[in-house]
Amino acid sequence: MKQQLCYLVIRHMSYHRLRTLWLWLGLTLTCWLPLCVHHLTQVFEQRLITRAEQTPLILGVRGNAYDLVFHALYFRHGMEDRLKMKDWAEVAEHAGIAALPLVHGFHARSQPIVGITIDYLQRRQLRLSSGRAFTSLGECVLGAKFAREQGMEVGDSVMSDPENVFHLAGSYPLKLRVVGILAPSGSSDDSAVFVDLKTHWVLEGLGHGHATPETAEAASQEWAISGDGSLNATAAVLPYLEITAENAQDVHFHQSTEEMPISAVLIWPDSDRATALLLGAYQDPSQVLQLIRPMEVVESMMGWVFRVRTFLDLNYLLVGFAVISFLGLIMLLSNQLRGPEFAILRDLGASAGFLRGLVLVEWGLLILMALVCAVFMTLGMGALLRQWLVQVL
Amino acid sequence: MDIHINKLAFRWPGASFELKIPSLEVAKGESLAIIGPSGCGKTTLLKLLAGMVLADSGELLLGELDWRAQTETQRRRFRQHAIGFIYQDFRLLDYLNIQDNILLPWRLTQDCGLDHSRARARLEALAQGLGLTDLMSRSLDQISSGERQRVAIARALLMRPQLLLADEPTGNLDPSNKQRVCDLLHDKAREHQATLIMVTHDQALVDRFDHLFDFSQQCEIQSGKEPV
Repeated sequence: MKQQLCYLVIRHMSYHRLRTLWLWLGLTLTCWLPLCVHHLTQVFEQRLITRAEQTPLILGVRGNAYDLVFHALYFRHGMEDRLKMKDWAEVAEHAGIAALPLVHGFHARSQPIVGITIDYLQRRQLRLSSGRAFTSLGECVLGAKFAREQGMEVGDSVMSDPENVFHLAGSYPLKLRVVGILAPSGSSDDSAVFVDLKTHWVLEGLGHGHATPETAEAASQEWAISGDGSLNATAAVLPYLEITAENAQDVHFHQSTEEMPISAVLIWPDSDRATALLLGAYQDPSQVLQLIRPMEVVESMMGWVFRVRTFLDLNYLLVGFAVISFLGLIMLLSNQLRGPEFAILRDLGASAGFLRGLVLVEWGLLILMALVCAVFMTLGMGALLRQWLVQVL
Repeated sequence: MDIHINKLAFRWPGASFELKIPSLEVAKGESLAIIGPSGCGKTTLLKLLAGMVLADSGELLLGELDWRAQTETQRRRFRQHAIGFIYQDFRLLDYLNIQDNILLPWRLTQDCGLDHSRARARLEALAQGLGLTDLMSRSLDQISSGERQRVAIARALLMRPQLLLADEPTGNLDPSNKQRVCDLLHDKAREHQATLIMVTHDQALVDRFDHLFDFSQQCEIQSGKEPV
């Protein structure tokens, strides 16, 4: 009997396909909106928390903790006040911790160029899908998403973005050689360009080389003496810097490594004791440096997200209630419209239970189809927006 | 199926109309034409015979069966197996094609002992007998009025009823089709040894019936009209 009931329901739905489609779309959207918002906030929360969990402590210059977390973990926000390498050396001396310096403030094709040490890749468990890690100045390793979107492979080169074209005394863009590409990690590392700390300092203009023309002819091509006797660069002077095997040995820094700037130090203590000792060492508010737990900062921020989500959930609950009321009305009117049909079925011997089943199975099928579709749409949207979320973070 | 009615009375709830039938007898396999003015209670009598409504008093027996002694479920099941009903307005479902409309009583009948292949065999035999074979997969809006009436007849005959009730089945048809449908009903009723009771306004059709029940002569028509 159930088979016959389902047969009649399917025949009815397929005959009134436009009406069925309309109802199904309405139900799908009603289910999808709250599901999608819930799912995306969960993905957002998971991404934030996972990254924060993977980095127990961050050392930076005292200031806005949110800025420091977003700078050090998600490579967002520039840091105006910066630490020095000697601060990293000092914290690294503490027993039972691993501390890694990090600096960024420049971009390549609008994505962050992050100065790190090789240990960063190991600590973040970033695997190379091709090529090798950087070993010398001017080399870079690309995040998976950056390489895919820019169509870059090992052997290509990427130019750093000019920071300000009107700042004539500013640093030139640096041409970076791509020596490795990372496998996707589903984190903000996927969109970054990783270079050695020293390469980043060259980008900042803290290190440089001196090009010496090999011949008088080459020099005359690059420089010209104007009428007032001043020396001017010609168009033969390249508008960017490139560190090659030939000029790498000429690159030098006018500051000691200890005085070189970094943005943050990522710290992984071995134990709770090491964590406690380190936190104790930086708890004085008068200190220039602050040591923060990213998880606490992220949880505090998630509090806002949860509050917004609660508001949205409440909103959807009210909208859902209104939609269910409308659906009830539609069902009632639909049953009235189907009165003659039910009378025929009753006269032919259909029981009241059969007629109830006919209505319930039809609506049940519609709601089930809508729910399944809403779940798939949510997952699809989640997959589509996952990359966007990574970018946002 | 023998039909026996004695001093039957029925009043629709809340209506002033009251149907009273002093007596009526039809033997198994015989046919009866019911005639009378509009609103005199012809359709109500068919509904009483089909057990769709129950008499207030008097006696109505279908063979040994008294409708009032049956539960709603028993009445429904008996109706499914033993009674075929043909309506003037056909009462077919627009979302089913011709084949599914004819098979509908079988789909709605539990434990009828008729499996799908046997139901299909009956369907094909009926379709052939009624000239519907080529229309099986068509929808209702693709066939004529006469064809629809034949579909309604096939549907009523599918479960091989012992009693065939027809409520003005020729009301919407042209004269040539009227006679054709009437002959068809007689033939099919005889073929299935079913008792045929048909309501009609058409005097020309009553000659073929074994009995005639004229409301205006054989029962007292009360004031008021039979509800639709």
